[in-house]
Amino acid sequence: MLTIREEIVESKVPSQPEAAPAQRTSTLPPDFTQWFHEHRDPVFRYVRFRVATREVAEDVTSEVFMKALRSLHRYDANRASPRTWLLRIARNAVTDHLRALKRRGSLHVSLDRVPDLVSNAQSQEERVLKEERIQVLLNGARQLRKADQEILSLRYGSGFDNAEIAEALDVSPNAVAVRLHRALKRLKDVINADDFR
Amino acid sequence: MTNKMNDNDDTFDLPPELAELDRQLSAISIEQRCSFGPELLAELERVDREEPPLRKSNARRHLIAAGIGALLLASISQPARASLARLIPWFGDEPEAALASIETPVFPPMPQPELLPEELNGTPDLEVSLDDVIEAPLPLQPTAVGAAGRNDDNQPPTFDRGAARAAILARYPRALMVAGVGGTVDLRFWVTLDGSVDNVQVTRGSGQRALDVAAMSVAQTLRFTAARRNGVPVGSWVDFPVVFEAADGPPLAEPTPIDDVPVPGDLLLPLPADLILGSYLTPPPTLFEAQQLLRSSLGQEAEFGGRWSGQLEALLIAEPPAGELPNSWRREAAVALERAMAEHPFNPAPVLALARIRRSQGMRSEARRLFEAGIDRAELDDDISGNMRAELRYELGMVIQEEWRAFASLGRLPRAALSDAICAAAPGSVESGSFAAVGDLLSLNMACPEELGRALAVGFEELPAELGHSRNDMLRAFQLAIEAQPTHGRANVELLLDLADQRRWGVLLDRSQAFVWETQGNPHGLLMTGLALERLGRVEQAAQRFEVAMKVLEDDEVEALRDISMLLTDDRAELFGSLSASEQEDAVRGFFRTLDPILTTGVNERAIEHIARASYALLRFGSTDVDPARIWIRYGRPNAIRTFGEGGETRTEFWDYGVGPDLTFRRAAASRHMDLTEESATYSADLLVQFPHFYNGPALRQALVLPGQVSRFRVTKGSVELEITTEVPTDLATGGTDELELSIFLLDARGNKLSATRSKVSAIEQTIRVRIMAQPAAKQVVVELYNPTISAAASLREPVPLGADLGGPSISDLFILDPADPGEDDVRRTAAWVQPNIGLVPESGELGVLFELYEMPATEDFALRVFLVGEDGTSQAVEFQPAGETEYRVTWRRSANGAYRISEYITVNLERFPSGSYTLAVRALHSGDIGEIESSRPVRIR
Repeated sequence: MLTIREEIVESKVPSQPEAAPAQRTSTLPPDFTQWFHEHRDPVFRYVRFRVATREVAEDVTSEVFMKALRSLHRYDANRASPRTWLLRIARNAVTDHLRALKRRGSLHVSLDRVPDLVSNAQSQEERVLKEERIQVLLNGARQLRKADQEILSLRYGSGFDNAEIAEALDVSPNAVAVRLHRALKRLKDVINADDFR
Repeated sequence: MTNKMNDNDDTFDLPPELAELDRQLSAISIEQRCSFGPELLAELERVDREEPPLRKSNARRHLIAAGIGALLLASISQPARASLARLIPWFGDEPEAALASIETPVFPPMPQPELLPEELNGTPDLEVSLDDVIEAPLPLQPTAVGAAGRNDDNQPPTFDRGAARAAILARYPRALMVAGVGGTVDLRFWVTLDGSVDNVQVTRGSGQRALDVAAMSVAQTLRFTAARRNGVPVGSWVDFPVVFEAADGPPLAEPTPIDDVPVPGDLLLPLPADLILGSYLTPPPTLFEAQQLLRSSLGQEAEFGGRWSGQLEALLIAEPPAGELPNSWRREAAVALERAMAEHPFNPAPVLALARIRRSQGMRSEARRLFEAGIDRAELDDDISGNMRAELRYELGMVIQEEWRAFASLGRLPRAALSDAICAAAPGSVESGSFAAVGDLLSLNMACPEELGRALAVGFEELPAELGHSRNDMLRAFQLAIEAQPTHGRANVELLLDLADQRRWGVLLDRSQAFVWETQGNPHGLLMTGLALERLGRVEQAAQRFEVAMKVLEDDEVEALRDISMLLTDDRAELFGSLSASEQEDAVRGFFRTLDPILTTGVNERAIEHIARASYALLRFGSTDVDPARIWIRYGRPNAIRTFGEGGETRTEFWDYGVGPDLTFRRAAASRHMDLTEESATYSADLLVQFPHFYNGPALRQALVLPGQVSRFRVTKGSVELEITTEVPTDLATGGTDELELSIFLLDARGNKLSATRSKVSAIEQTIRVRIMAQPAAKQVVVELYNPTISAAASLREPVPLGADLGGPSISDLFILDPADPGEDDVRRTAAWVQPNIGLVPESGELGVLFELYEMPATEDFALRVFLVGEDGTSQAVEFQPAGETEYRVTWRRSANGAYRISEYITVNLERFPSGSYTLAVRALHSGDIGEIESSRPVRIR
């Protein structure tokens, strides 16, 4: 599992480092700039795992950092690490987005909307099959309760380990393992049920 | 960019069918547009430049009217500049307040732009770049604020000292203040052009989260006059350390429970004004909202003619309507609700209803899971009210509480600890095994309670709760309920009861008052305030709270608080129950009047303690008419509660009251409901006759025993004069500047006050002597010394009737005096040489004794003899020296010569007797019909 992921990172990601923070003449508060560079990725991936398209994920991620910037004065280092804080904002932002969506239309993801979600497929055909599977997985995940979606997104979107998820959710790592296990089980049930439709 | 798994991922064992799913999910990678990051960053910078900092309002209610605190503004690296002293007029020219002071703020140096990067690099602790915040600034010339003098064009921001002081006083968390916890919170914030404060940051916390939060809220209230540069107002950063300076408390109190913390009187909040009108804020009812939601989730089934039509409320309270078979109704309801849940994944109402049904079926885990799911759903939808969310969280808390209760104070007793407790009366069938069986403990409890008590005190092993931190989970659930709806009554009360259980009276007072204010007078909050005040010894204030609460409470609750039937024997309780409401009120007043421990105060401490206990029992046990509540009200809080598990689900609680057998109760593991065991029910009925009720006065208002003597002398037939001698006890002698109230009450047989004599004496150790006449109806005299400064009293109670006051030959009380040498003709109570003492035998062993004989026959002589009776009943003759004589003797012949009254004085010598408690008796032996008359008084030889 781990190895495959490492391969993805090396083989599929065009490495394009952004301008180093030190070289920027940012007018943003220095801490914020640093947080942005450190945590933008996991935040984006978390969001992306829960919303339908990359465009929406970008919008929601932008909203997350806008909100963070505006409420920087409310951040309290004694209560949460910057990452936990940003993820909390992200979770709320996703919830807001889904709530708005719920009023407007479908939560489902169609295949033509997932070009940014890729799998470690070797051939084009395999890739198509896997992308179909991704669609099934994510649509299944959308039917789970919010807590399950969150934990799956932190795990498979942001790529956190149990300890990191535990910190983000303010629960024990043990509880994370249990919840993750349950979430997977429920996801499996949902997918199986869908397969029969 | 793609996602990347952490190299140090923990082991995550999954069953094979999930492992494949995990693999597939892990294989998903997410690509980002390469330019997304830089684009977003640029956008953020643009927004940050264009948008002014947001104005924030802090709508927190100004709850705390008074407090002790100080606002100090510490210096940063730059020395304070002289010009600041003139720019801020109050700086240094006012004496420091005793406990609160505000000094001048010192502002960060206004940087010169060209130096900025280096300065910033050198001050890594600065969290915000200063050039972000000085908008279009003109560089401040060092000379502008230098020692040369004032430059009106350039000024740092200034602020209103009084307002700042008020803000900090108001926002000092009172629980911390009371506990003596203080600290400094370093803040940095932006003072805008209009003088308001924004972007408040804690640059260094106090270590106390509550203080940090309070400091930030203080900052939000501050109003500045904006800084000026070349005469133009500019925004500026200000470093602003807020110092919360605790009063006389310990420098950093332990965060442990505080029992009986004295709270200064001025910290008591006034009651909300509307409360007097008998109204308070109740949260909006959830039932209507929940019914609407449930109706929409059930669809046609809830419409007219559908299965659940007209049963929405029944579904929501999980109570089958009349005519339905409960079990099948619940099953059917569960199916319908599960379907509604599945079809409406965002609607919390069917989840709430199903959870309650599961709970009523005893399926706690399932109920807990459902409440959690309901909370998730409610959180997702903005349209769900805070009260609905609070209700879900409160219900979750109650389910957790049930789980927690099953293990609270549960333990076991190793059989070895019982080896000394096998008394002769104990039943023989003590089973073998490592731990004592509950049946054996119940037997031992009645057969040899002292031995069992010792064994329990030493050997009881509390079992760790299997559910770990479930009490914390429970408290957290209630806390979250309150966050969702601050006025949620039951969640608040549960948290307050928990504080009462921990005897954190100061904190309870604080929180319950805040709750009362939040709801503008919730009566249960008032009851808890009253309970806290009563335990803190502030009984008058407690009484006032109870009185106001009773105006707002439901009738049956008021009745429950006033009920005294649990203090009465069965026949009297029945009589009490048959009285009308007003008769009951009179009966209650009369009942407590005879028990009032401190007559001087305007309040009956015993009656108020009764209401305090009843308030707790009502809220904790749900009623005052259940066994545990009745016992609690009668005897107060037990010294210890020990619980033994039995078989599957039954628990036996042992309530230890220090003496006699423990009172034992049976309950289902998680139940609040419990009953006295059969043994204890019988015992408690007996006990009620012996000890109708205990009074254990609040710690700060003890009724001490006043040392002293009351000697009764007959004046005329039927009237008695009292010679009262007492001393100010050390505990009340707080110094000459304090005054004690000295009160002498004469009471009739029913405890009504016939007369009261009051005066003031200095609170120094001194002897007090008073002589008063008692009217014939007086049956009891109460001498009371009350020190209002420390709210403590000492009293002496004696019966008034003198056996001999109705006529015929008789003798007065013995009046114990310092030894003297009066002439035979000078023996009178009113003589100057009479120096009463409080009944102690001095080191010399010599005592003076004055007494009077009345209506002794004129025709015959009589003999006086003195005896000392030991505690074992043995009586020995004592030598004494009559007034005017030089020799000691054992018998003294006297003659009445027809006088109505004869006064006698003797000196007795008790030197040869070993130390101990005795009774000193004077007997007049008469050869005629009268026989022997005697008067005695206890003495203690040191």
